[in-house]
Amino acid sequence: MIKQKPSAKSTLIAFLYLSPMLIIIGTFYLYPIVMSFAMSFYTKYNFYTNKVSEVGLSNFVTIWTDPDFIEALKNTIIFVVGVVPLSVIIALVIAILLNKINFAAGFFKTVYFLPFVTSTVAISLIWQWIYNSQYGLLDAFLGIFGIKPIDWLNDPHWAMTALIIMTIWQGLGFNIILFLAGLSNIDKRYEQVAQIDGANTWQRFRYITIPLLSPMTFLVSVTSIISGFKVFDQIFVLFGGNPGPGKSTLTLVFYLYEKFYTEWKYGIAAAAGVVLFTLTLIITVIQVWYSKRHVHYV
Amino acid sequence: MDVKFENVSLAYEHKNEVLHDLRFVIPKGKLTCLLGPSGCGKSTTLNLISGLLQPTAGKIFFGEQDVTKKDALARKVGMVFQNYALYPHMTVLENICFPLKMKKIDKKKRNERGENLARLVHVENELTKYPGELSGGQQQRVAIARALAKEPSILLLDEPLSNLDARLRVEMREEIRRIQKQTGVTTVFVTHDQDEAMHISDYIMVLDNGQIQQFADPNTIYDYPDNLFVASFIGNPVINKIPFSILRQDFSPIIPMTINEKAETLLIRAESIVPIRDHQEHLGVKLQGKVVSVQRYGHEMFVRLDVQGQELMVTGFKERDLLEKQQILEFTLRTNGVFIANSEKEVIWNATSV
Amino acid sequence: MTKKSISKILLYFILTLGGIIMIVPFLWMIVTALKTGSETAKIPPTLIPQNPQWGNFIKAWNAAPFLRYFLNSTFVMIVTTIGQIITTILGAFAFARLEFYGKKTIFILCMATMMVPSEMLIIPNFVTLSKLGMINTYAALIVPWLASFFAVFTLRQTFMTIPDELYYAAKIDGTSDWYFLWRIIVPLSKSTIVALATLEMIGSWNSFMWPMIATNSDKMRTLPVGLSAFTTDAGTQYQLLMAASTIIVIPMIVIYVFLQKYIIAGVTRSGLKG
Repeated sequence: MIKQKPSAKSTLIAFLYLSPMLIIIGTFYLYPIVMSFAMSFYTKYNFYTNKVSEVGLSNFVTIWTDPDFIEALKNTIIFVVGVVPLSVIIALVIAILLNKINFAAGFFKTVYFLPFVTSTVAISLIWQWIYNSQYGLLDAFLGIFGIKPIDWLNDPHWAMTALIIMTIWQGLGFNIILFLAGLSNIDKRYEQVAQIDGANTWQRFRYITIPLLSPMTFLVSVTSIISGFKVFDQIFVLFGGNPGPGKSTLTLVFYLYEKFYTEWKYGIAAAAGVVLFTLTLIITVIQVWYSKRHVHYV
Repeated sequence: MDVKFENVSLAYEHKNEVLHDLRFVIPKGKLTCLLGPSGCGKSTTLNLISGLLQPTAGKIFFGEQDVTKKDALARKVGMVFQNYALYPHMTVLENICFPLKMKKIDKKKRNERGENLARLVHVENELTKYPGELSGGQQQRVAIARALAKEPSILLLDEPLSNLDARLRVEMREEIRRIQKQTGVTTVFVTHDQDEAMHISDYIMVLDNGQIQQFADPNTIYDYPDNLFVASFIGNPVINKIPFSILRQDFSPIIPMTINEKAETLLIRAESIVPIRDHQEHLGVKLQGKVVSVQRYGHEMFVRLDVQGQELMVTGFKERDLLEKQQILEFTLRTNGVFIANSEKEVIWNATSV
Repeated sequence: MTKKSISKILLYFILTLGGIIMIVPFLWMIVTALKTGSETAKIPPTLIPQNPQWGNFIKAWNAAPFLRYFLNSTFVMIVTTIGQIITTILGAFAFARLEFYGKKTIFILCMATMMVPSEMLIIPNFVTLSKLGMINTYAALIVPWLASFFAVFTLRQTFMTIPDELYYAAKIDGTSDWYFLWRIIVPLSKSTIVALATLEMIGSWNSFMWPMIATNSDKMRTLPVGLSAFTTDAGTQYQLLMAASTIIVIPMIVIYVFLQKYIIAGVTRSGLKG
């Protein structure tokens, strides 16, 4: 209704309000974005003198020919493929079940959501203990069914599985909450109409709930994929600061961390960061493209 | 305090002028309506008075004082909005007293004044409630009390009744009238509802396209519209508009030659079309038309007439004036509510002049 | 038994089973924390500690400077949260209510920061803070988190739902922008602000990678970093590790139970940001 033009005075006032936030965002978000792209091209860089004596593409060539990096990329993708579909499906099912009950629904929500508020370090320690090959709870439990003890954390064949199971367990609550939000946005009348039209429980689920929930399902998948790309804390603690037995859980961010923090190869670490950014960007672009093309029911 | 606009214009960024060269004086102690269709500039004019907007050109005076550069606070205006804009986290009394709190008036004094105002607007029993617990009408009463709390130089009401249902609207309209009379505060009321404006105002300013179409008291606006827009915007049912050429022959004897030459449109209010034996003063014309339909709604009677291919809405006939299944109806026109407009859409002749 | 009640029972059965899977690791943590060293090595594991060792908590607490870690974490969490909320309120108000040159450009630039993985920014931020001589200080743990554009964006959306007329009414009533922001907008947006604050508290308390990189002395460690370091000292003494884990987990669970409503609202919003 009333749109006053900005003036020099109003701009000055606005910047007084903005400046605390802008200084921080500028220094620790905007500037580093530019810097990390720049650093990925520094091939000779002295951290102490802050001198760049050579720039070029060789960092990218190096990581691309580094078997560790290829392994990290591969593991990251295996991790995402292992976690996301299962996590989304389990969360969806539990959310739908939770949506159907009244009694104790709040209690269940609290329980499922607990890992989200818990330190990843603590969670990883707990699971490290559960996965213990001698005294671990999981092997003891599987032993009841006659399954031989598995050395979850030291056997390269099982390490990734162990990581995936723990990550699904940890992220479930978050996804459930999102699905519940999506479900509560679906007008109850659709279900009622479908019931009048003669659809049974399964048909209502299949033809009403699932399609109406699909934008939320997509969103949950995207969020899970992006956070999957960034997995680090769990691995660090679960495998005692190592990228798993035989580097079987070496992921992109772990690679970045090693190059940066243990080997001091800033340029290479930055190049790995650029690859991480590109992966995130691709997913985001797909998301934007999808949201533009599809109607939002929810 | 009276409000004077001197050649006020307003232009938004990249857009044409929204208001062009406004000049008017809103008289002190009266209730003035700004009336017009949406987008005509009435709310913008109100915001210029309030000081929420500043004009691009021209000057605004409150009494003798030039307030053009002053903001809303310095102008000491009180304002009531369509959606009430009550602070949802404050009680009724806190809302009413808020402007006084801003003025740093001590608590005892301001609560006393707040309670008096609450009595004035009849919400004295709701003082400790929150806005969310009140009906729309009560919320609007609180909003009025809040606007009055600071003893405003001018009280501004921006479509205050539009969010209320029909019956409440009529009730609140009377209430606003009463409160205004009781306090004597100069009041400016924005509405798009001509009926509301006719009932509530001392003066009406009709606006269209950012320009004043007419500024007068309600009856003058109704009986002596300056132009085609005012004539057709005011009145329900909408005034009949037909090309003058159709009835030129019938009108020639009663209008001057000079008018006859320029006449373009004939405007006739529905209630001015009456049976020939009606008691009031008539124009010396005798016309006839074919009955298209007759509809009765309670005490109202709507007849549609076809006069040489033009349809006229008629409300001047009573049931007893109509014969059953009558096809052709003879009628005449009253001296009130018949106008002729020229090609510039200005009213150049009014039947009262006969 | 009707078909309906059978399906209800099945429903609760599945949810309970899931609930058990979710809660068992936490219970196992507490159970282990109460065992003796030799009991942790029993095969098969005992489900209830034979002789609860409450002293384990004290032992763990004293085995490493956990008090120091705890105070560090608390201090960093409080300062970051308060600071971030203040910068967020001010920034969100400017974007929601004020007109200024370059508004669109700045807004879009800031939006871009939400898309970038923060892991990527660790390297340049480390370099910046080293240059400022802030590595291994509280400043390194606090300053980079004093603003979050995600929070600004979320709060701006909330501020924008407050009708314009309220702003005009307040102006006419004689309030300044500053007063209007703190006395009217902020109270009305309380639930969003609390949600953002609790999310930040949880995030700060649990954050690991940055504090690990930005500090290198025992004195500056936060609880997660300290706990991770403690694993090297404790070795296989899982009863102590679990006792220490319990210490770090409990405060957030308490906060969570009290502020659950806000946290869930906040998570829902954060998930919907894309």
